[in-house]
Amino acid sequence: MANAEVGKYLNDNFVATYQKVGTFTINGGQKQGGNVASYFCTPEGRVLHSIAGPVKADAMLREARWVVETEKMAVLEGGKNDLRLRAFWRKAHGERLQQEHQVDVTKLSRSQRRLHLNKEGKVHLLLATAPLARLEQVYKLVFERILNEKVSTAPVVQVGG
Amino acid sequence: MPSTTSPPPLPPSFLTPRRGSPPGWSGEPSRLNWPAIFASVSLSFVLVASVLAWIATHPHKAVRSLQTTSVALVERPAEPEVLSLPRTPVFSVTPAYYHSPRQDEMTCNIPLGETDSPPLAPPTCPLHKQDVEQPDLRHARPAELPLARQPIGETYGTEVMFLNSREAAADKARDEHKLLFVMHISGNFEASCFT
Repeated sequence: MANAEVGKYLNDNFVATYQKVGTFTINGGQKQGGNVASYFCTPEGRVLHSIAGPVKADAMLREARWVVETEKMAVLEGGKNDLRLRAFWRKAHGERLQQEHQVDVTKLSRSQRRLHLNKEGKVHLLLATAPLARLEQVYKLVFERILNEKVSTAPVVQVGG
Repeated sequence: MPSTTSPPPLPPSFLTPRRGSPPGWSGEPSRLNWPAIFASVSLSFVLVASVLAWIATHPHKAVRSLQTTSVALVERPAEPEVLSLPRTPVFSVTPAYYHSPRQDEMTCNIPLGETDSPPLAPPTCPLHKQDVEQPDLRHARPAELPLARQPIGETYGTEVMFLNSREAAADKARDEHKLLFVMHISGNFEASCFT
């Protein structure tokens, strides 16, 4: 986020906001726990893509560009048809899951669903299964099942000096 | 057995007249006290004669007619009897009525029709924020909002401008045809040591 190119691209194509969903502990000046999840959404709050955890600037910029360009293609192909848009985004995440993690989401059996995917792979799998889900429907899964954090309204706890 | 008996003969005292019996008495015994009767009659005549003599000597005092109480109640006038003043008063009386100035002021200044109150003078003290008339901004788009009502954004040490409200960010994204970027974090994004 501190990268100027990333900042410019995000400011040009997105309106950013933030929300506290978890907490962490500061023990003796050391941070314990806590994480971050970024979501690229439509203005209505439907998730197009997500980044689970902190990433470097180039990764952030790459994912942001992918979302913007894919959204343009989705509008071109699907228009305002919700089913077509869902199908398009399902296919888009499925293709990335296939290319980057060698998992074909269309041929997954029940036994094959127990895959050892990294966080990016889990995000693609989630959004290929539930494309254009609302943010309220997926944020707990991302934060608790992918990032292994606990959704909490508690404030930051400071222990010791 | 039936028997025909004759009544017994009267005693001789019933047959001889008593002393003091009125004349023409046929000999039956009298039960009236005639001397007392004559005395009362003569006394009545004397009383009547004295009343007539008093009336003759006092001609202006007519004797009121005797009326029963019920008749007097019916014929009594509803209004109380007003004392009649002498026809030639000793001094002339002019009734004076006191009108208070406050009453005169009120009665003279009552408007006949409803009129608007005069405009208030401009306030000399500053009004509260809620008292000042505010433009209706409910349907205003973010671009039309005044600068003070624009969604407040901050970079928080990054190159990205973050709005502190998701609703405001969604409205702005919809208005500017952009996408929405939401960051879910642990801790307080405002305090760099807590993120």
